[in-house]
Amino acid sequence: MNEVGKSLPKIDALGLVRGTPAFTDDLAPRTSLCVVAVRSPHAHARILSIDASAALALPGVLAAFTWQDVPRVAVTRAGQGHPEPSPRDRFILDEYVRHVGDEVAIVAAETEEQAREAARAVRVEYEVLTPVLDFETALDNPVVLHPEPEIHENFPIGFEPKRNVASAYSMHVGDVDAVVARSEVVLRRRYFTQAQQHVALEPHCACTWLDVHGRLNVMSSTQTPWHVRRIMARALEREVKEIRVVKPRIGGGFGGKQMLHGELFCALATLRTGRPAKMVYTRREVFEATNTRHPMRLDVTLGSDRDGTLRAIDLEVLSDTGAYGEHALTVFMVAGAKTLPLYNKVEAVRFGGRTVYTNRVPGGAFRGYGAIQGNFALESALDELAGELGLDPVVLREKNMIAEGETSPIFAIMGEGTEGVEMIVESCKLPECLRRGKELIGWDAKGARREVAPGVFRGLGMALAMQGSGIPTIDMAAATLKLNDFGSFNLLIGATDLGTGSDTILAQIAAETLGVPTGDIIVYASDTDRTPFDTGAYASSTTYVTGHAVRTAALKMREEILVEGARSLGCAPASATFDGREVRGPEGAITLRDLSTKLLYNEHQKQLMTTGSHLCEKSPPPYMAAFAEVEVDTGTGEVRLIDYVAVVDCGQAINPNLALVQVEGGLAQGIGMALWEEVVYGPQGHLRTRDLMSYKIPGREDIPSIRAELVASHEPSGPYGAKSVGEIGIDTPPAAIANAVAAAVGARVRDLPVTPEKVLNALPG
Amino acid sequence: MNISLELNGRHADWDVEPGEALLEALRRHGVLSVKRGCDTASCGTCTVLLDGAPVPSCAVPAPRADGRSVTTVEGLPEETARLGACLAAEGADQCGFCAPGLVVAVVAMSRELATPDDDAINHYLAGNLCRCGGYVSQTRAIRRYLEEAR
Amino acid sequence: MAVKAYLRPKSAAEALALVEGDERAALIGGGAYLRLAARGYETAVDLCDAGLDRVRVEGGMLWIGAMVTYRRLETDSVVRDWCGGLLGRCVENIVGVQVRNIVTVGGTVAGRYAFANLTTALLALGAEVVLERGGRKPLEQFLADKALVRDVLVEVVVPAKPQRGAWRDLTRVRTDFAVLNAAAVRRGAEWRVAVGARPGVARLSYGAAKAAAAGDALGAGAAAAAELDFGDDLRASAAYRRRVCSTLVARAVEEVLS
Repeated sequence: MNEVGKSLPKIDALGLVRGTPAFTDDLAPRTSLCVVAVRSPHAHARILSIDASAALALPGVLAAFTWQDVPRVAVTRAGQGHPEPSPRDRFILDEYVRHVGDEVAIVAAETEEQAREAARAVRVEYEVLTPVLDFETALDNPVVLHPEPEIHENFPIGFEPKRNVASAYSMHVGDVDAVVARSEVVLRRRYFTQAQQHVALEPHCACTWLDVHGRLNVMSSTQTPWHVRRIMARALEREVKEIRVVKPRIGGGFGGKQMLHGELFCALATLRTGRPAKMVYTRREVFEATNTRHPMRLDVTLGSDRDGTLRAIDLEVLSDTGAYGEHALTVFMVAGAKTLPLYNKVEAVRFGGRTVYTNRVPGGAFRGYGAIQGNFALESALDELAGELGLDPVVLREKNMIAEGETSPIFAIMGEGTEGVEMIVESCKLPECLRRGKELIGWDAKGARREVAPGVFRGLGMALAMQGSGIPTIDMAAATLKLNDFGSFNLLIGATDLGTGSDTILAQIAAETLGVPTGDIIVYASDTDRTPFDTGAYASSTTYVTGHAVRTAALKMREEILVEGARSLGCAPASATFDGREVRGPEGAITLRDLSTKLLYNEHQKQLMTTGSHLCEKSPPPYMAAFAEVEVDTGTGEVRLIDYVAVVDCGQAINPNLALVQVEGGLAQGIGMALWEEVVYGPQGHLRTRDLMSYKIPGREDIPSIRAELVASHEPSGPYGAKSVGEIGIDTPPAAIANAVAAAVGARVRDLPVTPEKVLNALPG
Repeated sequence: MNISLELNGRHADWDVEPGEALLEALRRHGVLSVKRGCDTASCGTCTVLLDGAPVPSCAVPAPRADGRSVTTVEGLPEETARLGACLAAEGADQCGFCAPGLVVAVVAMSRELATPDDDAINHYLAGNLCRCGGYVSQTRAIRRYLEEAR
Repeated sequence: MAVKAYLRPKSAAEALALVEGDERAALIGGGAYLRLAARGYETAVDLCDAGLDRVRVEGGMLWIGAMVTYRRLETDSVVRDWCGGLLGRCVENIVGVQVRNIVTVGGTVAGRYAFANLTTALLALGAEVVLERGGRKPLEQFLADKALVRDVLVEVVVPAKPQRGAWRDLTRVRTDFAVLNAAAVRRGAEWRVAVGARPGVARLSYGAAKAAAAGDALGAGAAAAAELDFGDDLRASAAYRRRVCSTLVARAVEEVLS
């Protein structure tokens, strides 16, 4: 292979480093109105009266909207397939506000200063309602968050708003209670995972304008242009054909841009005034009024033999979706669907629970998407079981983990919001990952724990993880190739590069298939008018799903080039070959450069343009074995991460450097969740962590050593053997680090993050 | 109010608001390489050189720049191209939103510290957050840049 | 910021004249926390041209101008030489080089920021402040002053070199504000032990100083934990801070003793 498997530089690298205007706020029309939201100061309230007349009278103010001025159509802001598996429980603006920061009104003015002044001038009278702030008390609480009659589920997801339930789910294989009852060893533990903020460095931003045809154009820092277009059309009571959505460069997403935020508000302003409009979220707004990771309570029961043979796994989950049910069901399901198949040999397995509403920042999509929560509980519990059995945690995993050629009934039972798809695991290099990971961290050499200074101990911990590659039978992507004169190609894709380099990776796949250098592929992406459809950048899908579509388009293009080349050479296509540089027949050859130019200007003129389309049919998991070394100070409870080793089976890496950085970046975000990151509220539901001074993400000194490696692997169902790598990196740190802390000092922390205070309190004796 | 500054080696006369941050003034005047990330001087994304010293332009009042020099990546084309190539070679450039601020900080570091080791690099650049990568590939790229510069 | 005028006076006296009697005027020291601190002010009085950015040694004491930045505390050879570089060490992890290039000694001390490591270190060093109107007074007294008098902080004075000092702080991520910080300084037989970010503004522990003078590091830790008040905030609970106070103070005193 010439292009695939090479660590080529990202095609947009230099432009971005130079600071070329490329992000929404850089590209928004200079004449844009500035859109600002009036936000709720209360966690739960009813708007008794609202008056924007004083705001409208201020200089520069062109429009103001309250819940009485906007279409009342129930929507979800979750950028998911159609119909969405999330409840339609939101309106553009509503009479009720359900978290501090919820939108109360929207104003648009010539300048930001004027818009902020106008927002302050909107008079609102609230009836303050009792908030539900503790998710363990939300079910059947007398305070109901969503009494509105119009809200609904699109298909059965267990939606019971009168009970504060956004979704519910349960499944089982075998009789878990019976198997647990006759297990030699039973371990029951409760774990908690916290809300986490994405902290993409680019705050959410959207702008809108009307084009010469009067159509609404939307530019947005979104991961899902097509879902944004569809949901906007519904919310605004317009036709999809009236709207175009474009994604320029995005400054990080991580799932945080898989929900709609400013798009609808800008659209209101543009449709009312005819003027371009722009809304740039402040960092505080990103914290208060976008989404977080769903916090969860996870009850794990393991039944096992004394020799470490797992017999049963039971995982009961309560998930907190905050004020609105974005991704409520699907994140919840992934907590089981992308963890439980790891241990596929059990006789019985059960998973179930509910997602409940509270008056907090809504939960939403976030890299890992439930898997990291489930992983923390399951991989912590396995370590605790290993401790009880006196087994090496690695040995316990080796004894029970899934292997190539095997399957799990869960693949067929659990999809995302619906049933799943049966699947035999065709690539799983977990044994290699474990072997290499142990070697890198020095698992056998270092032993359980060492005292490195008085009262300071080092310890090792580990965890396994799996993810998926796209959502089977739902994720669909297409790609179009267009041959240009002088031999270059346009690659048009709906896929959404969040900064990961997926545009580059897809160009590499096109180049490899065509036999041309990646530099001859000109990528244009993420435009609902000008590129083919793509469900978007989520669920670890782009390389695996869109990559397939690109390869198909390129194979078709090769065929067409061969046909046209043969015609030009006067031979039969069957007797001609194409090597990417020239079409060669029995008596001569024509270069692609000449052929493509002749095709547009000189003979048999026609445009060669091919489209490939791919529906994800299975979701082969990437796998990882991860090892953490920590140093714990028993005088303060401080945990210092010394080393983190991750060995990954992501199939064939199309671009190894970019795959490794996905792993490294995922690990850093997971390490942040494990040790420091935490969304904290005050007693009345006000966010106390609403800037980067109070909400701390890891800096470069906090993560001195991450060592990620890829093992050789080939997934037969993937383009050039590829699986996904976008999410798997984030899954292991919470469990691996908690396990390492327990190994070092005997302190088992079961609620994240693992803070010094919790470690100190959990120290034995 | 009017201020005069030297922007990337050229004289500039700007009309700024007395309460405006240098970041806002720069972007308003079309210097779009300087990105707004956090509003609280916590992320390093808006780093510029003020009289040669790296500062968060979101926390420097624009009027304080009167009579001083301001440098952004637009004024550091050679360093930007070389560091950009190193970042790209390591796959360390991801979304690119933090990249211009990082370049400015690395240039300042290379002028202040003769031969920083990895710890010194990480310490000097601790104020430049990145959420896409895990920092280690950035460090590899920066080391490569510093070695090439010597 | 709704600032209508931005002024850069040429001296502390001129600055004082501008802010005196004008409740809507705010002094700008560093500017890092401008957006937090300056809401509602109409006039910004920036001290950047007031000649307050000097570091000098006079009468055996270290005089640090109010506009000297944190970064200068780390890099200035005179400051680095003072008490083993305690002043540089206590600020070297604050956010990043960019922020330390604008945050000033005067802005920190005058702001009486409870989270400030620098205040804890200065308190342990027995520093004094020099105010344009109020003259020279001990930092401890300045921090305790409840009545807010409009004045301009001109310099911070650190007394003659102590024999030894030690710094300890505990943070979540490295560049965060401290969960708790502690400094211990010995000058001859005299000890001063300060603890800050409790989360209240830094205070001296006299009990810890007494135990330290008796060579009892663990006793010093226990004394500080018993003597000082601690509170809850999002970084930690009062109970945790009290426990960690013993550890940090004991370790700081131990380092000075050894």
